[in-house]
Amino acid sequence: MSYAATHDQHDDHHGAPKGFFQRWCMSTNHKDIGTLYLIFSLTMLFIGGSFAMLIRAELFKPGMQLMQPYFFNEMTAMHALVMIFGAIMPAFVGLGNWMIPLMVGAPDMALPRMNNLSFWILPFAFVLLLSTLFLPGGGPAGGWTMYPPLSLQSGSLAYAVFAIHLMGISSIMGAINIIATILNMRAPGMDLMKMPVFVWSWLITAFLLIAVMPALAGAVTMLLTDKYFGTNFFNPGGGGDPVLYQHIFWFFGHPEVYIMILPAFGIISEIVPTFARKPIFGYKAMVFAIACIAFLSFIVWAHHMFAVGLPLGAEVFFMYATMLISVPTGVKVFNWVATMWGGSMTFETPMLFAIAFIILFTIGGFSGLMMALVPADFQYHDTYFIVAHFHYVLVTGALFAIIGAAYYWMPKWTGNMYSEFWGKVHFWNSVIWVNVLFFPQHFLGLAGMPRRIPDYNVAFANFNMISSIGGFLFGATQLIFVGVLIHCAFFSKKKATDRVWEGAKGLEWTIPSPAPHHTFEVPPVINDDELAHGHVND
Amino acid sequence: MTSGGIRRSFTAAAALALASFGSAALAAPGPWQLNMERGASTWSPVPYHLNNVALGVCTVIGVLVFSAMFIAIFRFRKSRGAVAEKWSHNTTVEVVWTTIPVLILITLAYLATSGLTSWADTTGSQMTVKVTGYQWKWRYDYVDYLGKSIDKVGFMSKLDSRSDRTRQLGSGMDPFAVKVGDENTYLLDVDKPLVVPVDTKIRFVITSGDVIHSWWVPATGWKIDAIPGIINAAWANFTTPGTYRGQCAELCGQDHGFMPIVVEVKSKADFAKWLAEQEASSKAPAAAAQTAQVAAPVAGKQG
Amino acid sequence: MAQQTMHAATDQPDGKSRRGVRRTVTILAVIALAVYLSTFLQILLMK
Repeated sequence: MSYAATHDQHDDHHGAPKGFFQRWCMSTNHKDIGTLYLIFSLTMLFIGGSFAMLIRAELFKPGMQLMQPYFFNEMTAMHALVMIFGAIMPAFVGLGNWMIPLMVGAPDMALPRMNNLSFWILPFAFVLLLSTLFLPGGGPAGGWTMYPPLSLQSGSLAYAVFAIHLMGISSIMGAINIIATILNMRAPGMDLMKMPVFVWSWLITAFLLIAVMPALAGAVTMLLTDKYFGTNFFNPGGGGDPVLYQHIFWFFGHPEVYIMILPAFGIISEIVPTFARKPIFGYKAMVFAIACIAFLSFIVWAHHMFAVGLPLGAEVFFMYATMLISVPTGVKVFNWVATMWGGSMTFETPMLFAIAFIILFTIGGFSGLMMALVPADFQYHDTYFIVAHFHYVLVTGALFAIIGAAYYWMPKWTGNMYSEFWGKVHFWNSVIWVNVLFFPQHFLGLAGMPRRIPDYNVAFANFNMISSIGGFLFGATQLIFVGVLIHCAFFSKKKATDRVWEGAKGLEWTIPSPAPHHTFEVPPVINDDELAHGHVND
Repeated sequence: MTSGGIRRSFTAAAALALASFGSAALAAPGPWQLNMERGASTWSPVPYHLNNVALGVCTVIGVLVFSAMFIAIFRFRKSRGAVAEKWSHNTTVEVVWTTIPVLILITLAYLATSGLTSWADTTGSQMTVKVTGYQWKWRYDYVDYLGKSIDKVGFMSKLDSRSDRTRQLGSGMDPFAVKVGDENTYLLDVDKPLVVPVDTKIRFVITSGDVIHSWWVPATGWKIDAIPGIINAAWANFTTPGTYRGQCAELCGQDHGFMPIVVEVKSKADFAKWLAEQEASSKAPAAAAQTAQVAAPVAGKQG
Repeated sequence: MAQQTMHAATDQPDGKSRRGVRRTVTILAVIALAVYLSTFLQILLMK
């Protein structure tokens, strides 16, 4: 069944273009564009991370030591925008670009030129966004949610809005490309219900993106016209309603948080079976659970708004719908544990990150369930309890899955094995310091510390200091990751085999390591036993 | 310095013990506080108990799931010679672990819904206070008390001047030194607190004059947004006299972190006296009222 | 380039697979546009 390794026989016409500009700026190759996305997202991770370091430095002890409150607000808003739109989402798109064609046996994405465009919009969007920090008016300082009327006071609103439009266009094009690839470019025999869970998760995520990114674009367009063109969509002085913005924003915002976690579910569903050497437990239930979560994500948005004074009926509805999400999410966690049960496990770095994901994401899910309960949320809302919750699901959830995926597929990308020792050093430091960083924030929130404040009462001093120390060390730990990546790509002497991992299954492991510039020009023959989830017809 | 540090850590340890085991009504957050406070109103135990029940449920589920996972990690290791089994499906357990969470959720939903309906019922209030958020201070207007409308009692309430001086960038002042009595009040004190009577169902009508704020005193058990153009309502019935502190909870611009809320709950007799004084001073000529308003917080602090 | 090689090699008629892609893209783009425009319908909800 293996792909005929005819790479060497190809002439230059089929290899990677030689010139740097030709190869990277003009690329239509899904692997090169995937690499670009991943490098971009790593860069943004460090830029957004440096904002987080500044935030934690200011919060190290009570009293204002380093910055003016307005700059602190710019940092909280920019940290979120950069991490969400610059680090997490492009990382998943990069992984999807690299792996989806390889996993479904397609030669490339369905629309390679549009793929190039989707990527190259992003650097410009972020130059636009980050440049506001150097402009007289300062950057957006109303939080990443940009609630009016506050956001309408910002002088750099237009920059932020245009940057978000560009990111949105990029995401929508990327999503269209991924759906078109998955629906039209699968190798013969790769039925939908035989696709790897990662591909399924991306298919569903892409639909979410198409359904909600335009809603965000619409909301921010209305902000723009409210500020510059005299409309009154959200301006109460002119008969507008600031709460309507929140409804539209969270209609985007809640599916958005699943956009950032569903591909992570897919990644974990690839890594766990590989290192447990056992097929994924309940493949159909896993796919169905992702679809369920995606559907529910459209009817829970107002749980971000329990404190805006919704009618009782609405609060009850959104509470029930939100609680319901824990059922399919629970199924996923149980299925990962059941996949491990009865397996034959080894614990390479990707598996360690996957296990940490399962535990820590579940903790984030628990606090999510707690804040679904409206009366309790009246206390939790807009406190550090919320901050702790979404960092548990986004850092130890989405980011850990991305890092795990990078370790998992890096040998396939580079052809070299990474340093297992340094990978484990990176893992243990990450998992310890991230908990030192975020766990105390639960206590801060319960004790009454609001979010997005640059200074606080001395009662919160102890846990803030612990959290900041964890933050600095977690940030520094990520430099190890960069070291491991550079070593693996350029200096590692240990060549990776085609299969890389003993228990690895799926089409991506049948091609040589490193993956040749063009793959599956001849569609592969699908052998059901070779698919990661084993026999689905059980 | 050293003795201050020791004393500080000693009080911290004492407060930790108190916060972890005691359920005393805390008026303000304490160092090392681990859990939500019970609050000081008739409704505030609802979120407190719901929080504890939900935390307990989550802890039990977490312990079960993670133990199963760790047992799997230790039993089914390749290094111990484990051989992978082939099964990948089991309808019975899948049905079980879908059904049990649903049952747990129904219980939680029942508890939460009954708590919520009692919160939403603002009828039968004996007093109304209008709260208006501004960048970056609060305004309180007394609308009625025991069925009688109140004439022109209202004032702005903003961060106390000591906290305000201390919080300036590079002030060199110690936030730990900002105290009222033994209580650390840095950023949690105001020039003129909201004064309300105990054992009275108070209806708060909350709105804003500029951007969205959120009025949050943890002792009431709730927060609610102050939104321009919209009037929200909520109620609280304080059970114990005392001073309760909170903060604005919705990002509202550069001084969002510096617009605290202080509610002083007085006995009914003391409140009636306070209200009479306020009404008298508001009826006096405007100039006199102004001086009284400036003088009042100072007098209040000393007394 | 890669595309053409594939179609030549799999005797999949070029037009058929391209038509599938084109239809998918059209439908998805219309959905995106419709969502974008529908957000402005909130003006109907205003007082």
